[in-house]
Amino acid sequence: MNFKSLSHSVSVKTKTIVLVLIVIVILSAIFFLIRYNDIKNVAKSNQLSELKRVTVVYQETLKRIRKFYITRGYANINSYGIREAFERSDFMALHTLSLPRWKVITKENRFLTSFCFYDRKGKLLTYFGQKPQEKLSYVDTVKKPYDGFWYAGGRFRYHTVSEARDGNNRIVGYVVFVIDPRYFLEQIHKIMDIDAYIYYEHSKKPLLFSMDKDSPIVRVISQDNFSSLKEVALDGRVFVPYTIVGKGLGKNNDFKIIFLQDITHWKEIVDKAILQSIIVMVLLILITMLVMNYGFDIILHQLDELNAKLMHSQSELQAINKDLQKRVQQEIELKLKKEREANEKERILVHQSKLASMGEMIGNIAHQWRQPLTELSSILINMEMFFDRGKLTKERLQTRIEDADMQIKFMSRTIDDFRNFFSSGKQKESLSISVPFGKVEKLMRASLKNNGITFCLDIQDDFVLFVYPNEITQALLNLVSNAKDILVERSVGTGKISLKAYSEKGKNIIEVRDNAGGVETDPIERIFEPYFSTKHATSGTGIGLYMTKIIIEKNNAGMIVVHNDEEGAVFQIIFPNKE
Amino acid sequence: MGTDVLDILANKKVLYAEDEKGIRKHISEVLELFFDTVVSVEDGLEATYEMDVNRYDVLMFDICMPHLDGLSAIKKIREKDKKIPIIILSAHAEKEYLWKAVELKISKYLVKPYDTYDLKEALKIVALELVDNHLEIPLKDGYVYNPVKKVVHHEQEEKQLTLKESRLLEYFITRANQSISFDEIGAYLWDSEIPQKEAIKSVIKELRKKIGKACITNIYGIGYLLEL
Repeated sequence: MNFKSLSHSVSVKTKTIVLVLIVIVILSAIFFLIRYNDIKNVAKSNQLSELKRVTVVYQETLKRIRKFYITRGYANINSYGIREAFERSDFMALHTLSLPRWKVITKENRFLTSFCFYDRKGKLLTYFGQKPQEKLSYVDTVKKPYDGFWYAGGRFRYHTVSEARDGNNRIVGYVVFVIDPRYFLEQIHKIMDIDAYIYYEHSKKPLLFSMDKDSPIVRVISQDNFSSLKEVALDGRVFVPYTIVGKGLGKNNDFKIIFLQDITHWKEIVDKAILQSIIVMVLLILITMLVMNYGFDIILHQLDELNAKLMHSQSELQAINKDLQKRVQQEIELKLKKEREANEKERILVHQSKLASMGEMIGNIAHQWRQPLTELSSILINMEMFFDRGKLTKERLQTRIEDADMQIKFMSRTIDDFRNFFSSGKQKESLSISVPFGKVEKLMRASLKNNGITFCLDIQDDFVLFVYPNEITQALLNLVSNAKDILVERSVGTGKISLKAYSEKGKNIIEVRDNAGGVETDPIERIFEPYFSTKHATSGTGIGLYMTKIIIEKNNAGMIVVHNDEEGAVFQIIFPNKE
Repeated sequence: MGTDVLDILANKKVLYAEDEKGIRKHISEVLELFFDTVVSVEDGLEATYEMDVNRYDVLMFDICMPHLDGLSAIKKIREKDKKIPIIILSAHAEKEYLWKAVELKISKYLVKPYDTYDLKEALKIVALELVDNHLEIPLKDGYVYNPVKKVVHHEQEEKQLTLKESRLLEYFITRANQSISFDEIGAYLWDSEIPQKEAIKSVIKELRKKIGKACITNIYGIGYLLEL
């Protein structure tokens, strides 16, 4: 796998970075939005709770001020001479009697603008402070005692009205306190530290009262679209207006108190949050870009290195593979060759052994035939000689022909015997040991006799073997032939070969014993090796004993051992007794 | 047949040793055509026994025989009789056998299977050996003996010898100038039967009539001697 070019990888890198950045931006935006909303919600809930508190404070202030000044009014009425002065509409007496009280009251509250006395018809009798309205226009319409805001003569004021009654519970006059509405603003400011404005919209131009610390001023704010909780920018600050509807005298006097909570702080927090978010975002992006770029570079570098290494290893691997393949091929070829050679060797060996045993067989046939051939020739000589002498009668000829026929038949049988030996017995079968013994005797008799060797068959136990009949016969023939060859080679005068079968300790044993003096090889087992021959080059191929061992041990589950006794070699073929 | 040297054998005794019954039968029959007497035995032991008991002119032995092989039997026989012609019949043509045969002074070594010609040639060699290669043997006083025809010539006269006469004469000829006892002659001519001295004297007397009186001289008390 090759990175086709770096540009390709760079493009992948850029793409990945961009993708990651986009993801980060989106995440940041979501984060920011959540945070902004959180802050906003906090602000809003804060504002709402502020609004509630403002409302409560206003109501409480209103309640308190009402009780306070109405009580003061009654207190004044109940003072000495006041009620009588009202009855007499004696404004001088009222003024004189109430002056000390005004002095005390005006010190209590700087927003108390006027302390006024009206007769029972609402006509101004006397007053302290600012000059109030000459006439209390609403006095007949409201329930007593009364408090509320009243707009009159271009002024918007809070009034408390306490009525004075005579002994017959008839109203004789009114004590009225007039209070600047900014009192409320001050109270709210004192308690809650919130700037408030009172907005009265029923005058020709809307009136707005605000509280200044030193000089309460009324500022007219051009915007008249204060609606609750909508941010308003004023003097570079941001406010949230709370609106409370105040109840005035009559419909016309309804008004709004607008509190403006300075939320610049909140705004700043939000802005700061946004800024922070943006900074964090940018930093994040930068760091990400750097890290990713660097990381990508490193990764790409490493990848490149790894790739190079991989390529290297790959090529090495390929080389090794090729080499390996080659070597495996060579090994296989070598092995096959060896196998072939081994097979060939084995084949040659088998072939040689076949040839050898064929040769042996032919030798045996020659021996077997020598006698009948000689006899045939003797018959021919006999007939010829008698014919020469004119003594060959018909009867003699007849007998001689019969004799010759017999010999020919015998020869034919011999051939059949050998041919059968070579062509039958391809399957394992249960075989009495007397069968191969008989065959060996039949096939070897002439050869042994011609060499003056006594052959002795001794079946002590006629056991049964499960073997390839031919192979067992061939093995025995090999051993007997071998013994015969040694006997002839060593010119042992009275050669003796015995073939013996017996059972011992659960084993069936076939023994071939000769009196040729024994095997001289050391170690003795070497005679079973292929191409190992102690005989003269002319007589032995060295295969007989090897093939015998193969036949016995490989094909017929037997075992062959050899030892020498005082007379000669003793070969033992041992079969385990299955019973 | 005329002058067939094989006729020399007509008055001879042969011992034939062969273990194979069939061969023995057929060859014995053939030998009987040539020899006066054929004795066949089955093995070397029998052969040596026979040699101890009876006198033979020719031996024909097989080598491969049980009990005692032909060569061993011949070796024993040669200890007593250095001269008797021997034919060996053998399936073996190995050198060691041949060497042994040479040592035993075998007349002919016949390898089996042999044919009529081989056998005849072998017999001819033996026949000539028996007469020392002389087909005309001059005797004293102008008598000449023909061993083929078994006749004696003397001055245009031809006298046929009987079997016993010729047999005895040839026996004398091979042992010329040697004294031969009555027992020897008796054993040779009559085998194991013990003959009367008179019978021997009678044969000598008949022989003297045919070959002249000078040839055979009496050695009193011992036997006779043929002078050549």
